[in-house]
Amino acid sequence: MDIPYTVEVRRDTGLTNGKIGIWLFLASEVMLFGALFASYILIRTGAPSWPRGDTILNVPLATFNTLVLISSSVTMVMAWASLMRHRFGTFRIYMGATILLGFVFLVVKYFEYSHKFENGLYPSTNNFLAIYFTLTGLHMLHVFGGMMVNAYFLGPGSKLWKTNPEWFANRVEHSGLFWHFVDLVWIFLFPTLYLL
Amino acid sequence: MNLRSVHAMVILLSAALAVLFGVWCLGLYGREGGVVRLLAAIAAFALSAGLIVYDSWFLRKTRTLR
Repeated sequence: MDIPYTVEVRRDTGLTNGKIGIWLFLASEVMLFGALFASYILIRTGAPSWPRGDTILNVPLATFNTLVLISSSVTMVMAWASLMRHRFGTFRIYMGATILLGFVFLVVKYFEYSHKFENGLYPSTNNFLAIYFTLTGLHMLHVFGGMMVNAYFLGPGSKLWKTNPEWFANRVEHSGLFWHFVDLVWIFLFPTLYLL
Repeated sequence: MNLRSVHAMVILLSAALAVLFGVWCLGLYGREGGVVRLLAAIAAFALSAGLIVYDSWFLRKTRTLR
């Protein structure tokens, strides 16, 4: 039995089932990160003193990572646009670049974390670092998850392109929406933790 | 809302972030000095302008993708 509404839109929602699914998932993600951001605001406003992020964290590295993530959102949307224009070869290049940029982000984060641990800075050290490790750690898990999904579409999942290209393009669009959400979270995390 | 619109919005927010970062660098330069901070601020403002130009180019080029 075929899965309904993978390509054609439902008349009642005006969307495919996959798109409804990804937006519902992203809504739950907004609630997850929203709760953590709210906790951050409450803890910070209730604290008698709060350290400046740039005195503890490495701003140049985080700035570099911000540029990496913004670039990856460009390559991600170009991968999807390539599929919409029936250029599978170009899709592979852009999707590969997106995965590579995600990997660069994680490597930079690894060095940032290692430096903190070497200096005896752990989540248990103070509230600022507890929030920093929780938010950035969760964000890193999301980057890793997005990379895995993108790698699937670059590898075994791309077989669908031969049998149902429109469905495959829709799936890549959904993955792209998640990737952009991950970028969006970082756009808020970076100034919140490093600059303010 | 499709990926095209979401991408355009994320790039706009990135441009806003670049402005915020530029202002932050200028503030630091005002307090503590350092040519690198001034250069970083100028680079951030230039990046912000570049992102806005890219955004309008992207929206024009992908008008047919819905």
